[in-house]
Amino acid sequence: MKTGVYLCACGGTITEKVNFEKVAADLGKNPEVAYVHTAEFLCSEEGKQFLEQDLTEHRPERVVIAACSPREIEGVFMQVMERVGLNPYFLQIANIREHVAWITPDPERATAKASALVRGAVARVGLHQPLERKELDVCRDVVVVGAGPAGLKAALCLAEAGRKVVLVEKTPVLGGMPVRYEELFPNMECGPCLLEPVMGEVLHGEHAHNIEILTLSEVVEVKGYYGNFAVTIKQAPRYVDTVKCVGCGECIAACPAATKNEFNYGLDERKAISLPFAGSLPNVPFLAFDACLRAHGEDCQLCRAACPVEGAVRYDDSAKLLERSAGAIVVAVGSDLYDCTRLPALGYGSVSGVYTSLEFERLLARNGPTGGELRLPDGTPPKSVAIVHCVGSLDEHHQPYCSGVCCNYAFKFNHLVRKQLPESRIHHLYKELVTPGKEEFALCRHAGHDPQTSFWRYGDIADLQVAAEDGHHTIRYRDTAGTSGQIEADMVILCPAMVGPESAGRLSAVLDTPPDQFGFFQELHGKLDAAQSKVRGIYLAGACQSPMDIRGAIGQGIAAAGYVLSGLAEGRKLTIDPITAAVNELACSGCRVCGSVCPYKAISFPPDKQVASVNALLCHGCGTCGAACPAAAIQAHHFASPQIFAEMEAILQ
Amino acid sequence: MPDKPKLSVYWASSCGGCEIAVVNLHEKILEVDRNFDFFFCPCLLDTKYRDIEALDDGAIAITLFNGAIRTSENEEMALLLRRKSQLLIAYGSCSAGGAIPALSNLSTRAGHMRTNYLEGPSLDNPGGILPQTATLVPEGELELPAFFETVKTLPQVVEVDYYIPGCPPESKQIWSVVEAVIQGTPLPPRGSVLGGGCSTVCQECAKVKSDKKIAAFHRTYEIVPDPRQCLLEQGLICLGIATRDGCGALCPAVNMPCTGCYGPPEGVADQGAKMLAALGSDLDLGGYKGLTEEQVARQADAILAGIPDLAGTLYRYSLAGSILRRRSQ
Amino acid sequence: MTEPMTLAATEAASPGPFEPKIVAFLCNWCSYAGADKAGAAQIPCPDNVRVIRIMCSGRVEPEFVLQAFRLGADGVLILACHAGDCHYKEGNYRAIQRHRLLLQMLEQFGIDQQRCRLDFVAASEGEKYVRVLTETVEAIRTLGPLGLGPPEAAAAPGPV
Repeated sequence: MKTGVYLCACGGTITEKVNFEKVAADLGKNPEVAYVHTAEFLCSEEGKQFLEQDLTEHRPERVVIAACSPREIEGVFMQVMERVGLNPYFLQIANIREHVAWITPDPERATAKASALVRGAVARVGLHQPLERKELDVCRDVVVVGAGPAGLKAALCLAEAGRKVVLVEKTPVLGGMPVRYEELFPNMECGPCLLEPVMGEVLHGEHAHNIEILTLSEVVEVKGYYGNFAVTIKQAPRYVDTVKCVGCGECIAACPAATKNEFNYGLDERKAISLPFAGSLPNVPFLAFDACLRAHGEDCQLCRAACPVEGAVRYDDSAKLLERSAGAIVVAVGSDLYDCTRLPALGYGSVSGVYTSLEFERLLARNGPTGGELRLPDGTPPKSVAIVHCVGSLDEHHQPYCSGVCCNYAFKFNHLVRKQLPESRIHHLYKELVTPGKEEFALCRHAGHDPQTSFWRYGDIADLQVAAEDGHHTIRYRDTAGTSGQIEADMVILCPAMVGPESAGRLSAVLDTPPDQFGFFQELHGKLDAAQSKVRGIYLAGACQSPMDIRGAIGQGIAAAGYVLSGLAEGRKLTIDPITAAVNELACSGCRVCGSVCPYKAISFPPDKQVASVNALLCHGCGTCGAACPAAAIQAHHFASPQIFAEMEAILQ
Repeated sequence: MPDKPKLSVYWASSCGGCEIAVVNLHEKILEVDRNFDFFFCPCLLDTKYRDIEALDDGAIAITLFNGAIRTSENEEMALLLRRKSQLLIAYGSCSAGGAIPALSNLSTRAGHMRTNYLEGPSLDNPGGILPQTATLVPEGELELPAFFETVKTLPQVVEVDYYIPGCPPESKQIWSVVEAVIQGTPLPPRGSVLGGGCSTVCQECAKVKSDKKIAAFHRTYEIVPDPRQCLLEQGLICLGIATRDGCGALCPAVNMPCTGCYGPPEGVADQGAKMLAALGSDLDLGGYKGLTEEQVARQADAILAGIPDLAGTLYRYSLAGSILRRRSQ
Repeated sequence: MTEPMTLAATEAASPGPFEPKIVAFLCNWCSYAGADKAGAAQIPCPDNVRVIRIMCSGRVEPEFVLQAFRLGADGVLILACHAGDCHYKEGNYRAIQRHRLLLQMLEQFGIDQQRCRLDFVAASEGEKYVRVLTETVEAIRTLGPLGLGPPEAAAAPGPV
């Protein structure tokens, strides 16, 4: 094998310790080495030009570059190789900078070690295979699951870029949680007003034709892989035709059946056919069949009779399974609140007048159960309100993390309560106060300056007890010093930890993206790729990935769209990195030792072959299956056993 | 008689099962006799060493050499038979990989001597006498072959033309070689494993295989396996995954895990290491989430405690031919 | 029999302390980056360790380790990502499992467990990288050469 070796001095920082003459002399004895050339700065523009010219002139079959870390420089030199028509995988880097010159004080030893590493690289590169990047046709459409802020923004970004989007929403309504909030921190803008323009664009904007909205729908099966997913969506019947309905609400007025309104957490009732709340979008009522008299054997047709549009109310509507193709999937299903009944001393569910923050949001909302008026269950306004922070947060017995959102909305509550009930007392019971953000502190400061607002720091939520006495509550707590205290309040608001969505288990099983230890969807990397799941082509947006506020969720929705647009770019095929595993089908017996090893489910056993098959698109090239295969039937490209053995033998000489 | 090609079967360090496999040719042995001069076979014939020495080099058409190289006599016979044979076949698992005799490589010669001549519970050796290669007696000097420190395989001592693996080899494999020589059919490239496949035993095993997750290991007497399901998945250490096919998966077919007698598959240097890699890949820790490095190690150890003699189990037939070959001294 | 050497002659012929040869398998994402970090920080490090880069510690086959010993390594080091940090999710856990098996088996082969060390080095842990290397070199220096040598030597015949 004619191998050209380049020794880079790295401006003298390598040659300070490594004697290139000795290394070259040592290599000169190696029959594989055609020549040894040196350069001062091989990665500089001049250096790359020199390399390009030199490679063109000498046409080596393989190239070894002894320089800095391949993690830093391999890609650069691979490009040079490609430019001169050499297979870029015919290159091996010997790291004689970070691994030799910079850590070996003795020049003689450094030189000997550098020689060994270059020897290893020469031995290895001779066995390198001419790997090729493959290209694959892809579907550029996207399925977005969840129509909260993150999902809406992702869908809209993608639609604006001309992509077809299927927006799958579990509930009958768009907007996720914030459309149910009266006002939002930090600037007290109205929640529905914030999202309505986005929803308007999604529903009837310029690019709305690119978005197919499927409400009352869930993803039940996903097959395939990045670029080519087949998604099965189950849509429950709405019994109202979303196209024909004009949203006049006549059907709602006519409906004689009522049921607890789950959109207000059962704090009031709604009709069997109804909108979740006033102003909800799409402006099309839905029929909750369980609550409908027809479900109880009656032939009530009042809603259909009241409807001015022929065929808009459809009793024959039924559940449908829909198939959609997509190149990528964006998961934006939001989060849930920590179950407050797991802290029974707080009285949630057992003591009236104790609410979760989401329930309180609805109590504050003008389209909520009380029309936005703060009322106790007996109808009177509360004289005092206790807001308990850190419920189930920062606590090893519950959730160890801080959700980073609750304090901010707790001070929003403070502001809204004060506005409505100027005379009331407000108590904040907290473990820690956390108000990140450049504008958010203002609400906190307002609360702090309010003479009618007091702050109580408790040590352990396990010591917090809410008891009802004569229509008001006594909250006992112990402060961080262990001293007991007591607060009286008419209404108690719990601010629980944000937790992974209840649906995460089911959906993550369908998507094959295991949830993290807290029940959130697990990101590929907490910082670099927080909007990517560990499965290629499945992206995460919003609070389903981690507790976050609306701004964070919307940012991630845009990020997810960005991943799709750059990864599945128009006019470009999907490139498959050749550093993957490959199966020698003759040697594979189909024993399935490798089957459970692949973290990316890239290995399958097609029934017609009965041997392992690696999907190169899903394979990330870790090589674990290659190490696991007891028949040496799986080759880890570019890290194949013979290559490793050759390198090892040479460096040990 | 002299016109017929000569056939020899030699046993070095082995149990004699390979000879039984020859006899298991049944009536076909007559056909062997019709076509060959069955010249040398210490357990059947009285041919002497000097008779072989007297032959021209290459005078024997086929030698089926079974057994590992344990003693200087084994080695001497290997060298002699190599010289005298046109085809020297490593016949049976011991000659190819060392097999059971080579498990003694996990101990030392001194250890064997101590156990067998000094410390064994049934010994009566007050003088602590150990065997010697040369012993002077009034009648002269007695010689014993030297007992090597390390058991070797046949190919580590001489060049081998072909391999017929198995413990013991299947009689049909012997017959196919004999038949090929009789009929003059061209033989496969030198160094081939005759009757061996290019995959592993699982290829021939009819049991249903799933993605493997092993939560506990069992010995064969401890469980009654589901006869339809892969034995390894049920915690029985079946070496089928790392063993060359060709045997017809006889053992798993009767619910006994493969012990690996066909040796490593094509292209595999070390059967035990491959088994180790596979087992280490498929331990079922019930998910890794939240586990520390130490917890993973401890849980793995707990599962592995179910394997009583790891090296002996994974290298039962291949220790002498493996990468390490023996216990380090 | 040669003449006994004088003390001075012995000292002159002394080859210096035993310098073990160690092969280290470093995963690309954490431990190799950690090694680069040590380099960037120019932390002096024993030169006995020769690094082979692999993508993931899960790629390390037990055969690599055995072959390293056979080819003359006195020790093998496998460096992986910390638990939960594997770039490929689970490769480091497989590495741990295989390492446990390997240790159990090496013991039967009379190879001290210190000769095959698995440790965890993050991309930021340049200092830990140097510490692990230094400890390993010292431990193996104390153990002395593995001395597997060419297999023929191990098989040399001798009197019973």
